[in-house]
Amino acid sequence: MYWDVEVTPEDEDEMISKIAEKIHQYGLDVAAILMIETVKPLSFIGAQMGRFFVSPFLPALGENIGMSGEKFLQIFEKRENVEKLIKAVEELTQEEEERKKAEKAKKLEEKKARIAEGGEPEKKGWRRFLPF
Amino acid sequence: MSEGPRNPTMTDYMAGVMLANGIVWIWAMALATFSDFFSRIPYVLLAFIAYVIYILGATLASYLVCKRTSSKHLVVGLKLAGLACFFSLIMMLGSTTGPTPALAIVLLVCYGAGGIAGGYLALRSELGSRKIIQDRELSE
Repeated sequence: MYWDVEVTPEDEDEMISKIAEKIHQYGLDVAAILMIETVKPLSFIGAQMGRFFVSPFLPALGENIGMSGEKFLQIFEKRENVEKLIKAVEELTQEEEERKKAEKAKKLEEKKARIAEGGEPEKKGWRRFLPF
Repeated sequence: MSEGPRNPTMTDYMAGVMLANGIVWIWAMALATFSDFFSRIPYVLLAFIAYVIYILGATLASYLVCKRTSSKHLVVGLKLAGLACFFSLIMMLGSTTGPTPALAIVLLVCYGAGGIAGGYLALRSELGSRKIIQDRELSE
């Protein structure tokens, strides 16, 4: 509205991945997907309301925030971008799950190897205090 | 192998409604059957237990119905909560006291909370698997 912002597909992808990473960083994957999926049909109306109610205040927050806000509104008024965001969050969650599974399997392998070598299995929790 | 996007049918919703109300009615039956025992417990505590049972019943039903969908878990959970509340009020029309506005509000809030919790739990359990992403790709 106040800036002539041109949003390229690269900008769209960058912003979507940035938002998805932020959501994932705060551990809000499930809550975010639930909410975004539910309000997805209203994305265009939401963006228009944002233009009307939020855009006029953006210049007061500085040029950087103003430009990002304008880009944000332009990107998320398209429903396919909202869908891309959900997919990005899901993929990040998936990657983390796989990483956790791999770590768990690795620890199990190490434990098995230690036992095979004749070493004592590491005691965890309250078992650490047992003498046997 | 994924079979495509899944959506709960009307039968699934009805089964969920029956389950949510069934748990509540078992609690009501227990109150009536063991009235001597329950009369010794303070009413405030009984009311609190009743709210927890309403929420748990709706959570369980919503979780099971939401497991049958591949998207819009919150919408499915809330739809189920609304249907369960409506069905519960219809059932109460036959009782001697009948439904009161306060009871209707309590039921709606408890079932709503249970519906949201069930949808959340179902999505969280599905997120770790590839299935949900495949279903989403197929639905596009």
